[in-house]
Amino acid sequence: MGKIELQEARRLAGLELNGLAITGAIAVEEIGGARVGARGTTIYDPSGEPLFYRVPLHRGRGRIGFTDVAADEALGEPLLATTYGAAWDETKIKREAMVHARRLRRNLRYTRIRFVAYSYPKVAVQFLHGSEEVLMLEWGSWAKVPPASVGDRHPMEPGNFERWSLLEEMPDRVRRANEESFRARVGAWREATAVRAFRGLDTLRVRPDLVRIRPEMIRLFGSRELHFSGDAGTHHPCYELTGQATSVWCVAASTQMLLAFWRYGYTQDRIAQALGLGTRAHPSGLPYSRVGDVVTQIEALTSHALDATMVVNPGFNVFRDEIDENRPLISFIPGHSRTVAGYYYTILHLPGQLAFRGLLVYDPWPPNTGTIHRYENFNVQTYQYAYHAHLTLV
Amino acid sequence: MDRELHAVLRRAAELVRAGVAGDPWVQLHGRLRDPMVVVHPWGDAQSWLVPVTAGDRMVGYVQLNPDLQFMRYVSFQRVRGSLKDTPLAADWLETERIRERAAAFARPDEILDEPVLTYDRYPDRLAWRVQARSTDGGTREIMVAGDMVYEPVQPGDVIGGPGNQGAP
Repeated sequence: MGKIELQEARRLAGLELNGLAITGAIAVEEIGGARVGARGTTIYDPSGEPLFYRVPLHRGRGRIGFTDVAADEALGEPLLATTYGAAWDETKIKREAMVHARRLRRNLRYTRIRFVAYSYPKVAVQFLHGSEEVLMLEWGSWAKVPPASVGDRHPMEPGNFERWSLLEEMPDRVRRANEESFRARVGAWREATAVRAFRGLDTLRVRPDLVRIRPEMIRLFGSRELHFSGDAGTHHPCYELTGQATSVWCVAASTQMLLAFWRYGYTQDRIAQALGLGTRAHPSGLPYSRVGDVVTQIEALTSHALDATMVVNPGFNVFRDEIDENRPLISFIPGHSRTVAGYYYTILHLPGQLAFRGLLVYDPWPPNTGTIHRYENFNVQTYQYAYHAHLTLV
Repeated sequence: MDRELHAVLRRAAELVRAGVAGDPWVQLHGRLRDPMVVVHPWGDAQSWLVPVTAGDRMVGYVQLNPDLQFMRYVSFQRVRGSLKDTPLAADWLETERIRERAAAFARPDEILDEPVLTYDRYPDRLAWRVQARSTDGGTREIMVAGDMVYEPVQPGDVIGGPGNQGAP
């Protein structure tokens, strides 16, 4: 069970609020200039574990609302909710709760008060004597919250006014997925804020200027295209499109593009001959039983200066890692072959939205011209084989 | 334009504006044309294609699946910002032009049906299909992909296709 300390939760809240402003999910006029408060209230799960923090949002001397930030990775995302207009004043709420508690029980004895998400996200005030609960009142209505019932119901499907534990009822499968998602989100922020300009910046404040200069301040996506060398800063993208010379020579054209990147200027006819794909007058495609021939011929046509590898069912990282090394790939999808010369993926996206991963594809189809896919959605394509090659150095 | 086409066009415009499809040059100079349906060989809708043109040139197209999920942006521009070597929009969008190309490939005794936007055996190989009917009752398909016109063969266990095409 991954727990988050309040200071880390505040830091994440600041980043998330800035992110929401940058992506336009909340208006800068609404959130601009807001600051994540120094103190936060811990809201507990009925099981007794910290569940989230409710942190006030200030602007100048005034309170403009509050934000709820996860204290447990099981919640799946750091930022849970943000409320404007209603201020969160812990001391005032406790005082009010005490008045209502005395009305219910004149002789109520307790040693401390804390806040509990008795039915997440509904909050109640819990009165404890030692570690023993003596009363729980729902915040706002001040109705007495009944003890947890041992009812015959499905987990996570509570009644209208029922005390239940989110952490205890959450299925293990969901918890694991949520924890993974939470860590990915934190990792994305780590990557997004790794740029030099971020150092020493006060991200607890939602900054209109940060929003204005967002491309320089926050990496919203990762992207790379092949260049002349690994030094992308001083060289232009360096890759050329070749259309397939016949309607069935996609493999030959793809191999030609890969070899051309390494400055091997073979004609498509010569590559087709090496791969056993016939002639222009009588061409054929590459049988699946001979997919390994691509590796053999890339190496043979370069006198083994290139060491080629075939990857079955390649994932996105296979493409990304090779492009990061400034090397193109051949990609086989069902019935067709193309090459990959770049990638694009979102680092930051709104909670609940799917991340986008795309490949920059140099496709020899249609014949004679070819096309460039900027970008092909990785999530909707089937990648059967990928081929990459690296120079053999002496 | 009906409501469904409007929704397709709006989705494509969003993707171009967001930079997911195309690039800044396309955002500035590209014109989104009326969406077209790409059909499977058996006739069902396979995807939506929203052409992007600049002047009389075909710059590229946004392809969405029937649920409007983004599939890909396909560019005919070999170099960003340049229209050099891009095909004429009419070669890909005007059915009369497609039909003319198929007619040049057809035998004198063949009558041609209306072109249908589909793909050659595999969905990534976009092409127009023109059904040719001969006077003896026989039929065959002619595929038109840009300036390539050919008679397709049945799918085999082969990447690219089993071959036996006529010369382009």
